[in-house]
Amino acid sequence: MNDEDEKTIVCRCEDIPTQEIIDAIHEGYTDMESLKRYVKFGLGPCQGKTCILLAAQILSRETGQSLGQIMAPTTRPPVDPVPLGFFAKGKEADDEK
Amino acid sequence: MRSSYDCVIIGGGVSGLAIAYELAKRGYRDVAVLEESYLGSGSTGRCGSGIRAQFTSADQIVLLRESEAIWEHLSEELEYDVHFKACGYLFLWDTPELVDKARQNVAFQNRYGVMSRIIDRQEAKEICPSLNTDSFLAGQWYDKDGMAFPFDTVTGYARAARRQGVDIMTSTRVFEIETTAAHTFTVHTTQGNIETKNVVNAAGPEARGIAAMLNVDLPYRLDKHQIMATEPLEQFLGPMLVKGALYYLQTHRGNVVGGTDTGDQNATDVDSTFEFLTKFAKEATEIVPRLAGVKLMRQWAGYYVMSPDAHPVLGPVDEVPGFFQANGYSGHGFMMGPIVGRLLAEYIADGKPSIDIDHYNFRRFARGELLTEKAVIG
Repeated sequence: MNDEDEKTIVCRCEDIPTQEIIDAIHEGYTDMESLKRYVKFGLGPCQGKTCILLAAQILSRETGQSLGQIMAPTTRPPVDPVPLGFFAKGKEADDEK
Repeated sequence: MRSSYDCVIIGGGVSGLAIAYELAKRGYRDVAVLEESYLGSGSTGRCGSGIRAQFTSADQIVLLRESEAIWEHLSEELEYDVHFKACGYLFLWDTPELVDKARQNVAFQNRYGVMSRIIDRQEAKEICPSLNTDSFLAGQWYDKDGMAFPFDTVTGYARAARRQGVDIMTSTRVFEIETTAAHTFTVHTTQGNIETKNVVNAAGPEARGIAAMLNVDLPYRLDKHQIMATEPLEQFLGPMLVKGALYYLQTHRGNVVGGTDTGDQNATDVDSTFEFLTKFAKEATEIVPRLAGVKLMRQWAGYYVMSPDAHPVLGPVDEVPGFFQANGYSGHGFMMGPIVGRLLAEYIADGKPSIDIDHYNFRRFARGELLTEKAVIG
């Protein structure tokens, strides 16, 4: 990450730069679960697919934990956002096909 | 972590942290909070974030009325923004029988200073312009009900407690509690043993297991409740909407967050299901049709720790002096957090809470003195 500086965006959905994550780690949020919930990256429409690994790399670099030690937070369904109207039709919509 | 404290609180959710903060505020600072995972990892972080005083029992109406009074100024008090907003709760009733019952509930709530009222469809539409007015007959409205952000509430309480000298330990699991001849406790944790005079059980879904360590049998059932969040949108919704078991609100971040009941009693997992999504989507789009075009972003689940009368257990246990309960919230622990924190701290520090909570004592189950609450929602 040679071109990274404090303004480099880690989470594009929520507009969160590198420095915000580094500051939180130094405040004591040194595990992914609480770091994510405190800084609130990974909660946007991409559900962390862009930023979780980048944040994990920063956490690893700042704390010396290996990427293996930094467990990835639970992935919540759905994989991609889906309109509620799709679910409201439920099985009926599926059966019409 | 030291090897002895005056008070050890088990559970780093809103309850445990609020009790710790309120104790420290009263000068009672020799306190440790033990959390087995990260702060807010249990029921607090999984909850729907609603706060209401529109209950059906006098006990809960009074408790939540006082809790709302604290919520209103909690951000200033903790010097941290917990994003409390009095967005109001709007219950939608769709049969004449339910409207009649709501009128009685409103009259009852008004007697205790919770000034809810019945409103017609036109007024409901003014409060929530997105409502489908064909989907209900009348609304029940209270503008002081609201919401707050669970993780920010946890952070606010934890920081304020730490500033006053409270020790808060995460990744610290309690696996055994012993009573000693000197009427103290030895709490065995994965980080070592602690001697203490008082133990507070604020362990949410784990409360039953913690109590069992001291041979206290909390008669709880765990029900799974699922919930979802949509993509963030510009503010459009207004109040928390409730219809039957369905509820949802729009957070300060713009996501619509809410759930409905899928009848998962005696649950052993908090897995998400597709059945929940179809039920929720049908119910949610019936009252606000425009939600059909809004994208669901994630779903998760948590436990309601159901007590036999849907009221929490608060206060000491007669058989084990020094062992305090703050659990069994039956789905309402987050909203009760601030008042429970204050009352339990008063109990522990002064021996007497400022509101009588004797009828919330564990002994009510053995005596058959159950309380009644019909409005278990979110």
